[in-house]
Amino acid sequence: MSDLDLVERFRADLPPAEPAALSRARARMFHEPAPRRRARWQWGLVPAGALAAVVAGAVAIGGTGGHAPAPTPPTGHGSPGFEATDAAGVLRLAAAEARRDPVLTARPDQFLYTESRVAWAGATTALGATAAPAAMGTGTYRAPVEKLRRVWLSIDGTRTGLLRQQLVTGGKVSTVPLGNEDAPGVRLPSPYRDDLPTDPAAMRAYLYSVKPDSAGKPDLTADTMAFTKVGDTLREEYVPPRSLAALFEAAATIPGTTLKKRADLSGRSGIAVCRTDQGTSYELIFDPATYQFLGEREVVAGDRPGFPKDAVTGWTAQLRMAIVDRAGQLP
Amino acid sequence: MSPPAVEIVGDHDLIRLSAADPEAFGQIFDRHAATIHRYLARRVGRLLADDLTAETFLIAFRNRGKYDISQADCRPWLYGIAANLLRGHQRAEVRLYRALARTGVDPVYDSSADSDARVAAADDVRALAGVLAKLPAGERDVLTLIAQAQLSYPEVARALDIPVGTVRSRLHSARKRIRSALPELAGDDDE
Repeated sequence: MSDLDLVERFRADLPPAEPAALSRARARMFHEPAPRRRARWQWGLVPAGALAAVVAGAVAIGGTGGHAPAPTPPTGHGSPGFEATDAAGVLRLAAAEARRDPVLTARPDQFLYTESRVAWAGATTALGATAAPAAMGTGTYRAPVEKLRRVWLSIDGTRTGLLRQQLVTGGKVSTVPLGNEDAPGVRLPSPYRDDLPTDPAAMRAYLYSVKPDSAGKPDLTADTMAFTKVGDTLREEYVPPRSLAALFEAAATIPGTTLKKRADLSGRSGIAVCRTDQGTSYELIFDPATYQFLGEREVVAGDRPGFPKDAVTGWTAQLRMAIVDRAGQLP
Repeated sequence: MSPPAVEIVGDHDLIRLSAADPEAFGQIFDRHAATIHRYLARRVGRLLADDLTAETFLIAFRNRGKYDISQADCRPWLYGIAANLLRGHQRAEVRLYRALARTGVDPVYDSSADSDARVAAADDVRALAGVLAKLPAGERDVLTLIAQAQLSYPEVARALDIPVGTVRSRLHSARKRIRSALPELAGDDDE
């Protein structure tokens, strides 16, 4: 036997791939949405990568509490108290309301139109989570810049969408066509999410299937990633009523959530279901009367270099969602 | 009058078709996924191979527009993507070789499914694992693509995007290392 024969025989009798593993891989090939979906959202955020910088600079210092003026629970990792029960309660009420929504129907050739106000703060800080505490606090905080964002996304993912964005104070409208630049001809993921589970347990599995995203959010716990996946799923996507209800029911099972009874979002006041990790409170805001989802916020929780205490570092307020025939057409 | 029969033979035909009809790429997967999985599993175990097979084809699918359609067989291209992905898992790969070399038991064989297979490996297999653990990554790629994936020199060159001469020299070096660890092996010619 020669040396090459030996290498050839090395592990040659391994059993073949499981058919189930291969069919999962095959499905993933056609349906994996990850980088495109995220990339799509990050278009037009200024300064570029602000959110990533925000997260990378985050340092977990829990238990500072004391948000003013509203009474708030102490921040920290997964410390459920009576407030946490309330947060789950809000989510369950939101689920019950969602179930009553009419279904928005769409043809494959149409577009989902979403209008929102978005803002991200930035901080020019070179500090990572590993930086020495003495070196912290040297960053420069940039307050969120509010923009009006209008997005048209192809229902079946085959047509080029459109993003129009403008500072709410006026000025130039930036217009970006949303095609599939990574792979021309490949369908973009549909923003019409009739592919989502309608059962809370299956939805929970979906939320927890998130893998760490190399583009941002490093070192967050599985619970936090599942929680932020709720916002990711709602952002500029249409989730039909049954799945929407399942989404909120599933979110209610994520441990460590707390409730803020007052949270302002682009001039609207709501109640916030929050989850804090690595110095950031991730918040889903609901209308206190109708339990309709209003949008998301990210708030500094604890001491974070370069950031004022309790600063709102980003938000998205969803104003309108509709189905239209053409990209650029207003409902 | 029947429509002209278009016989699709080569991978390049399917990949060309898949530009307009992405579903056509499914046949590329069906043709080669088990083969690529097998190669990956032999290097990093079946569990990681499941993931890396999916990633290989995901990358291939997204880059199918860049495929050189003068090449009828796309396996070297797929192996190249797989080998590139393995670079990110060198530590896992080497750990498995080391465990086998040290204990004589190969962790790549799933202990629960086939416990009978967990017999101690032959001495030469252990010694080989020891060599594989120490090989430079580039030599390990060439050696496994030649001996396990059964690619030709030009195919390996294409897969790894290196000159054929480099394939030759890396293989030569890898084989020398194996022979010096296992002097009793017959040393046939390189070619």
